[in-house]
Amino acid sequence: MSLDKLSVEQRLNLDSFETDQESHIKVNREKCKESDVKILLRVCPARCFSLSSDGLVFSRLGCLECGACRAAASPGAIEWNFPRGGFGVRYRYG
Amino acid sequence: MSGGLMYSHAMHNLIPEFWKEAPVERRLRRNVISMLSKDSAASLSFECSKFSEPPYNGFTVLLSKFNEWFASRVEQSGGIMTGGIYADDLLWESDSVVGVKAGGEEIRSNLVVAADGVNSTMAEKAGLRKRYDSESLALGVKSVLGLPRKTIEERFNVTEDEGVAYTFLGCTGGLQGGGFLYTNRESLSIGVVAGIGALAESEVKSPELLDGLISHPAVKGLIEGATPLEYSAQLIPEGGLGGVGKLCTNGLMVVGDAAGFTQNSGFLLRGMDFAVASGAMAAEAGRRAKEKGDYSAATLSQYESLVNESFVMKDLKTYRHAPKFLTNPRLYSAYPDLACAVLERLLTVDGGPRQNLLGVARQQMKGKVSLVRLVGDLLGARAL
Repeated sequence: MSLDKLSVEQRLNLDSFETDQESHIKVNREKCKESDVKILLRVCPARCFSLSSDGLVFSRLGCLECGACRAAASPGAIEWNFPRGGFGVRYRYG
Repeated sequence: MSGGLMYSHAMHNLIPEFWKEAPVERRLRRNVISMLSKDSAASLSFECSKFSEPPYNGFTVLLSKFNEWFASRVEQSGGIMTGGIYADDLLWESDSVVGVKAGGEEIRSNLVVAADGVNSTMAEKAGLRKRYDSESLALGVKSVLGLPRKTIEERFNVTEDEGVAYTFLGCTGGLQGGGFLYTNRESLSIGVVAGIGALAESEVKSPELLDGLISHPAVKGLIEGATPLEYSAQLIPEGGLGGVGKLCTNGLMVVGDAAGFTQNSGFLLRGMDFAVASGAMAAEAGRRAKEKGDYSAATLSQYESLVNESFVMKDLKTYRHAPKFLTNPRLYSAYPDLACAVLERLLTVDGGPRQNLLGVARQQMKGKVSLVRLVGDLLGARAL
């Protein structure tokens, strides 16, 4: 299967994750503006953000821990941390 | 993770001839800088036999494998490696760092070295530097693709230990940034880097950044038949000298990406040699502090002096105007298009009337880039 035919989900399936029950990233709804929502939906390389009826939702599944969300959104809109020790993405190649 | 290209001088300085025992992939034999338009590529290829002689210019590496080896070297030297523990905060006593907090536990130490990367919360919490703003950060999206060793050697015209590094401009849909492709032993590392600020303002979806490069006619053939093995992403500090803050406080030093030690000159992206060298200099400053039994900022400022006297700060100073120059949008669309269009006209023979170089260039620039702008940008390239 060539790379250009792979969906984001299929690409993420190549990686190895130890997913925590706690979320290391939280959306601060009070500081997350309409413009941030649009940015976050586009900027996350793992498509971890989605829109629900309650607003923007972050799913920790497949998070590559790059920090693009925190960097691109308004200050304070994203409460960002690495996952707890022992959890998160593990790159076999890096 | 990393892009996957390590310039060898800093590691060679730390562990002489490290390539004899470290799991390096291929030594860099050839650099290709390629400007892409929609369907063409104008490339400059440089190879040098000196690159194939020790201490070599650089190696492609897969960082997970390389780090595993490096950790084993640390243990051989008496260091103790502890994985799986995330230090979530600094431990303070009045105005001194005296350890870290990790999952509710306190780990005390005379000295903490923050090597926690571009998203360093330690450097921020210690007030050594402000959070990077979106204008001084770029997002890199990368894939490792498996390809048989023999295919790589035939396709890229290299011997068994040699490799090639490609840098691409014009593959980011006009956004500030570029692409890369490195040959590993049995795989390729391919990725695209784009400024976070530009990305946030555009309509581009970051997972699609790679698609533009891998489906480009000039790149397609290079990766044909390759099997995707890994997908990764990382931020890169691109503020240059302006992104570097204070490097130490009482009981704490900050190194590598966490300190903002990276350099992008458009055709060259460096980080690992800065990280290795700054880590070694922090270790040296730590050794001196231990001898004195004093871990105050005054003693640790020796680390700052070592960095200031080294290539790390000298190179950041040489390229201090590069970050501003690289915000020029013409570099990522108009100029790659122009280079390809001019070469296409010059190299096409179809029986139609010919024009000389200057005529072709002026015609292709019409309505896209003015002569004044072009000259201005050429002068601006002194920043590189």
